[in-house]
Amino acid sequence: MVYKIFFLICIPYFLLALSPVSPLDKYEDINKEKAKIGKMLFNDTILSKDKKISCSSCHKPTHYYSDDKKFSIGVYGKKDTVNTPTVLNAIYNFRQFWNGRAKDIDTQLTMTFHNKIEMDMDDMTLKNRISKNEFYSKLIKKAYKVDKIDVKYIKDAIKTYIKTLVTPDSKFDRFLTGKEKLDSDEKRGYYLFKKFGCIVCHNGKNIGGNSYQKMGIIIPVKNCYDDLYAITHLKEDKCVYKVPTLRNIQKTAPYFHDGRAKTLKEAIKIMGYNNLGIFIDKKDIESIEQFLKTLTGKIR
Amino acid sequence: MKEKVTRVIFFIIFFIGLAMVFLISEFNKYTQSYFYQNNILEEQFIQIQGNELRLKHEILMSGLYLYANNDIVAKDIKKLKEAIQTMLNNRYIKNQYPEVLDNLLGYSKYIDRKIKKIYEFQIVNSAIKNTTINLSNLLNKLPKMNSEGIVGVSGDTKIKKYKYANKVVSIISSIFLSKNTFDMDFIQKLDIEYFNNINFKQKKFKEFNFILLVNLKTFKRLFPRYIKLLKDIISRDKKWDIEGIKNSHTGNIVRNLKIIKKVSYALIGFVIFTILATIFFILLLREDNKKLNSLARELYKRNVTDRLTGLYNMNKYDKDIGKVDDPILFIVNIDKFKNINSYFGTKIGDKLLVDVSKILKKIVHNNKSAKFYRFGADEFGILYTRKECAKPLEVADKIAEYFDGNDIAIDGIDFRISVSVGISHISPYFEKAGIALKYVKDSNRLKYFVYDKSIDNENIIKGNLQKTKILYEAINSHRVIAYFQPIVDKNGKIVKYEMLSRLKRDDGKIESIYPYLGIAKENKLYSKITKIVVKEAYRVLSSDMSIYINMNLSTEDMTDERVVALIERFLLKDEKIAKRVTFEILESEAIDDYSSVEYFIGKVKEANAKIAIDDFGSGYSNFSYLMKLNIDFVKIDGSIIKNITKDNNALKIVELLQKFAQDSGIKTVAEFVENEEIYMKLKDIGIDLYQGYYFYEPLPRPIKI
Repeated sequence: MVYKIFFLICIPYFLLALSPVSPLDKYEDINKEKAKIGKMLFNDTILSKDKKISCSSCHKPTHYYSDDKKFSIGVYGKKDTVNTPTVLNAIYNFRQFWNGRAKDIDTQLTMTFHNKIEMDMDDMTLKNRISKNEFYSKLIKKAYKVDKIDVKYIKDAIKTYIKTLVTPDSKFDRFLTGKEKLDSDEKRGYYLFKKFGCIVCHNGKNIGGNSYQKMGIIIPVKNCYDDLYAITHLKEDKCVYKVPTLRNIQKTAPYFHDGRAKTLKEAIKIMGYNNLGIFIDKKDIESIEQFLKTLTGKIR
Repeated sequence: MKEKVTRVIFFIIFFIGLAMVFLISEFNKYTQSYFYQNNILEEQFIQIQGNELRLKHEILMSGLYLYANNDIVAKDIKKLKEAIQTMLNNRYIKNQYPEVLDNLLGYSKYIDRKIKKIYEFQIVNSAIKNTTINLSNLLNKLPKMNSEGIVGVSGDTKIKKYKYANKVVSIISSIFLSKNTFDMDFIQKLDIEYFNNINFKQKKFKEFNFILLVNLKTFKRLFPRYIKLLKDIISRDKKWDIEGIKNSHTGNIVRNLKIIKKVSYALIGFVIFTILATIFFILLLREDNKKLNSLARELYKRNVTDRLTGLYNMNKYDKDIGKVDDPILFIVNIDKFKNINSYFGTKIGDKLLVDVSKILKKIVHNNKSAKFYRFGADEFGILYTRKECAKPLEVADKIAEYFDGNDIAIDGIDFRISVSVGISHISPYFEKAGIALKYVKDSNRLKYFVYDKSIDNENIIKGNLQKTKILYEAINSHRVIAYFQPIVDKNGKIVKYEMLSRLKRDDGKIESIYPYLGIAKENKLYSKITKIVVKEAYRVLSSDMSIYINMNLSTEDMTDERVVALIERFLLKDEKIAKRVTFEILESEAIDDYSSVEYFIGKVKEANAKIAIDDFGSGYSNFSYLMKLNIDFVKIDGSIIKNITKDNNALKIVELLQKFAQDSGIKTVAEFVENEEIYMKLKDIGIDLYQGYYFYEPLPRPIKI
């Protein structure tokens, strides 16, 4: 009897272990005080040069922390060059930005601050602005137990907030932990997702975000920029991007680095043709879309 | 010399020791940190090794398995990079093993290159996987296509008409074969051209062919790269191999261990050296100790032995007397030994002493317990238990008899000596035997005597001490005073006074100074008494010009410079006083010490003072002497005066003396005139001056005339 129970408990986890897609961890323990500051900073335009842009200007909380536009508008109305990716679950990506030039969130924040078409801020201005701001400086000094404002505290606060921007408990996560069943279409979608080979790149915790892959590896695409080639200038790195996450993908249109796909169906079609070398028929696209919808999680 | 060497060695060891203590503590720190740090290094190497292997393993797995979780590869890359960075940050490596650090930097860069390859591999791998999946899917679809009539049609007559399906199967199986074997040979001869040149009209077939072509081309294009990347990633680089770096580092460790070994050998060597040095010093000490011991023994022997005779000395006696049960002590003294020394020389004297000691030993030889001592120059001691000496008198007799009856031959001369023996068996033995000896010496006939209470002069000695004390105190508190006994002429008229010293006791009693004179002479208080009398004489003489005095002087006084100076100052300087002073000198003393007496008398006469000879007639009565001294008075001895009425001889002597004196111009004084009868007789003889109790007793002061 004991052995039966033992196996009943073990097998799901065993299967879980074999599965290429894993559910998200439960909510991590975050310093709430620092996260609060980070949230306020995230939404505060004080962090941009012209004081008109905040993080949330492009990473819109209403749009699952991405932009519904193809290209977001940065400081002084400058248009960005790539489509804004979601901040949700970004903490689980192995690198940040489309071409993975930032190895972690800290580096990413620094680069975004310094980016002339995004925030266009240098460390000194950033520090002074926050120091002079009584509200923020008091909070930061209290939370970090220091008496002088430094840029690293600002970044750490934002990072702490970003850590809270995770979306566990999607329908698919619940399915993986055996708490819920998928309907037949969703199940078929997952099956096809595996069969066609989407899972070869889109796997892991974040269903993506854990390797570099070439867009158009089988049938090439055009208009690749801000790719890995832009950093390494190696021929083989042309059109190589970090694989984006498929969590909440239903909500973060448009898709691809240039936002060329406006709908999910379009994106699936392009992926199938260019990256898998197959024509996915309409019915299959629909099933896959249904599956992808199960990846939408709850924002805290 | 040895001490210098020892000292040098000591200082060397001391400073080396200090250095060693310092060295040891440093060495300890060094080895501790060494092992600790190298442990950490070891762990870090292993960590990097493990992570690299894990990464390689994961890549292999991702190649092998269709479903792979890229999270794992990303995590492994991160871990490996972190492990390398941790080791690069290790300060110990930077300080101690810079070449290892260089190697690690090179290895880090190598890993970076590898990671790049891994990323590339992931891209290529995905494509390979996907094309493989697609091709197998196509293969799945093929029977359906075939049944729908997909036949290879070509416009080119050169291309043979193969059934399309066969071609598809053949090419796809080649692909699979190559994938499974990782052998490029199977894709070298792929006939992709065939599919390139095929032109289908039906959309379905067109699509099929298109997909087939695109996947084939992709596979063919990417497969070589796929194989190479996988091989590169899995392989071990000859140069940048973490295990190789670790091994070369181990070489360093071994080298350092050698140093540690050498230092510990040095320390062990030092410890051994210290032990040897300690043993050396202990041996030196032992030698010194031995020498000290023999020296101590030698000293002790000398301490208790008389060098000349080899007998024990007083020191040993003091020790022995406490240990002997019921002892009896003989002190044997050689009579008049001083004479032998002064007549024959100390060489003979010494030889005699040696012989005497031998003889004593011989005489007493049968008494085994007897101990022999030499107490003084001419004194020997024999100590033994009363048990063994039942008849001490016999022994003493034997000794005395022997010396009386036998000569001792020294350097051809025969010496006959005699001994005196004092014996005591009552404590304190030495003192009491000494008293017995004195008793023997004092007596004329005794040769030996055993102490008993009757001869003890303890009381006499006590008395002497007491007397001294009394006299001393009296002198200091001015209780030594002068009395004046008048001397009268024929008619009883007072002519002068004789000054006599008296002692006033605490209780006021006056007593004569005579009992104290012996003591006074011993303690040199004598001159003090004389000085008191001189000063008193001066006082009296200067207060009353009519008074004449007589004062007694001994040779002690006359030979004491200070007394003479005092007398000169007070009594002789002033003529008016000097002419009224007469000094009385004892006859016996005058003769014994003639030269000093003569000198003093000369001074006296010069100052016009007078001299009287006291107690004349009872001693030697040296008339020629008297003449030479040019004296003024003669005081006839009281013992003769006393007897003139009873003894005819005494009368004759006095008559004779008076005649002589008269003829020589010397005045006579009769002492101790006790009664009228004597006085009358003396008057008849013609004595000039009279003194005695018949006339006056000594008075505290002269009578006022």
